Amino acid sequence: MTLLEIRNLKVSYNTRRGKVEALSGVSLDVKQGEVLGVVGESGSGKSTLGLAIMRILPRYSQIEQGEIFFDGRDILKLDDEELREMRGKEVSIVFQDPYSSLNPVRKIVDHFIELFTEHGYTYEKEEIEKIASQLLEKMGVPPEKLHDYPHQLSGGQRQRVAIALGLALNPKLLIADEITTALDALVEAQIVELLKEIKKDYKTSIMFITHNMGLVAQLADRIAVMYAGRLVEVGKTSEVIEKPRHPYTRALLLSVPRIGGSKALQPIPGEPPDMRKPPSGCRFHPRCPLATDLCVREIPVLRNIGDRYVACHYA
Amino acid sequence: MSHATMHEILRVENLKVYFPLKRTIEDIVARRQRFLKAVDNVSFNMPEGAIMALVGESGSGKTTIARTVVGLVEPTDGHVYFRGRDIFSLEREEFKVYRRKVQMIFQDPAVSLNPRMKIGDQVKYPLDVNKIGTKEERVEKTMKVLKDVGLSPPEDFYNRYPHQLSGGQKQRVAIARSLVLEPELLIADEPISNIDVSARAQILNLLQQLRDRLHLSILYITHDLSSAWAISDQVAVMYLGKIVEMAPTSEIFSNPLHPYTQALISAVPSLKGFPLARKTKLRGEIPSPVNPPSGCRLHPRCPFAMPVCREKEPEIITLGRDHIVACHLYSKS
Repeated sequence: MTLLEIRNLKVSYNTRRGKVEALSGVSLDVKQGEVLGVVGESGSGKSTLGLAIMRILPRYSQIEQGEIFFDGRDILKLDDEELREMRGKEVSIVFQDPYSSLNPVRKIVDHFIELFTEHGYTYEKEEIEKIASQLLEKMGVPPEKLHDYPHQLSGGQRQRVAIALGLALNPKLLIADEITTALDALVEAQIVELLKEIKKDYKTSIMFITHNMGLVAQLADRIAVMYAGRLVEVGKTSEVIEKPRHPYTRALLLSVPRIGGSKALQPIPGEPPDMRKPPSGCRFHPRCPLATDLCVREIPVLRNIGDRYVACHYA
Repeated sequence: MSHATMHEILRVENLKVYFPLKRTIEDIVARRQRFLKAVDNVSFNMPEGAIMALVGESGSGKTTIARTVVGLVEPTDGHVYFRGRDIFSLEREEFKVYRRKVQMIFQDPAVSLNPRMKIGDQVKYPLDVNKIGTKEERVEKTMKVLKDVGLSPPEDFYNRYPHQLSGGQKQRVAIARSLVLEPELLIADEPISNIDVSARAQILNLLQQLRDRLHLSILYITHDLSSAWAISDQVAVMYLGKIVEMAPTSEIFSNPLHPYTQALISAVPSLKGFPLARKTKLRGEIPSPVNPPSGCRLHPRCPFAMPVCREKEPEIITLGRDHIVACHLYSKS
């Protein structure tokens, strides 16, 4: 069953040098209980997608068009009160830097108390402490840390607390935006293990936003690859990784050195596009080995090809 | 280790770098000064023309080693030899010359470049400061170096400003600036971790080309094992200020001995979904280097820890050719 349905979403940012389109018509589904990996580089629009779903886009941005249906309701039509109710309870988001979701002058337990009170729960303090310490234990943080301040925790523990807060109200969708990027390699692997367990034990759907294909391969049921504000390929993880059909997906997979693989690195030629003046037609055309006049002229639509969706004239 | 036949460019011997910690009330009462032992008795050497990877998590001391080698930090004890000469006993003028021969590039090119200065002027700047050649020669040299790092046509890039470039291009500028003085050793501290994924392979390729074309030696500092695997000849793995294992690259990846190295390699997410090495899982996270564990510093996290690991620091053992490891699992006793 489809939990989240994004239809033709366009989001732009106002900058000093004019309007920049961050998302140029993105349509994407998240099914109940699935982990969807959203892969892209900086500027691809992957983080904007998460912010738009939460309706926490910065003030200098606007949703130009599109719909985001969550459990049948259009998120873009909710008022402030409904949005507050939705955040945390229906959808929650965890960011790269756990400091951005933790208040440095408040103890961990206070974050839980605030979350529950904000959502109108009338639990006693002791009850919340009990729920929170159970949750922390599940996330692999010693429950006594509940009475510590964020700075007294390690980086990995802080991120575990942020995830615990994200899951506390049992949301149907957890958006994880680059949550392992700031962590050391071994801690990153631990967090990925934790997400695997969450996927198994809770029924939460996870939108896992990252630039790291390897992480998506560990975790996601499906992959959505983004380039310059558009989706270029969407499909089952194993199939996309084994047989990428969009030239960008293919190039991205080849450019990452793989231990035990070929040592001859194959970089993607050229530079990422300047989103203030994105390339015409297919936005990957200036860097694509297959590009023709058609690619310069016409925007390829994301169309169904066999087991997946690809936006390429030559897929 | 003996590299007697090869020319050795860098030798680090029993290097210790301790930073004094701010004294607390307790410290003052107890009349003591505590130290953060960022680098604690590290030795390695690099043959000329090599790319050596220094791998470790944050807090392992890899950046402190880099800063010591370029002379930004003074060692508490031990020596750094460049072409056989101790760099910390050089005369002032000789040290200046040394500082030209060893250059460093950093993680974030956006921070290391001046946003208000033209690319060409920034790259040329070290030549101006060192008053090398005539004005025309400096510009010519700058153009050549811009071309060397793949910023072509150089005339076009010379007049641009950093904000007009992508992250990968900015890192190329930083590399170009480090090359104008024709260094012999380049220290690259996490040069790809802050740039776009699609530009990373370009920078790695560039480093390899520079080694081959200019016969540069490169000390490549990274937490990313895959990139170390792709470009280095030799890997040293660091944990809490110590080298725990060091070997030629192919050897260390096919036969990792130290549990920490094994854990690092098996934590690399593979596209196939299964680990690349025997799965070794460590407990918890890297502790603070202020108060490192006794004995082997990994013992509280190590799945193979024995009683001896808590008490005695493991000595460095040489196993096979050029493969060294500091772990009690391999001691002969």
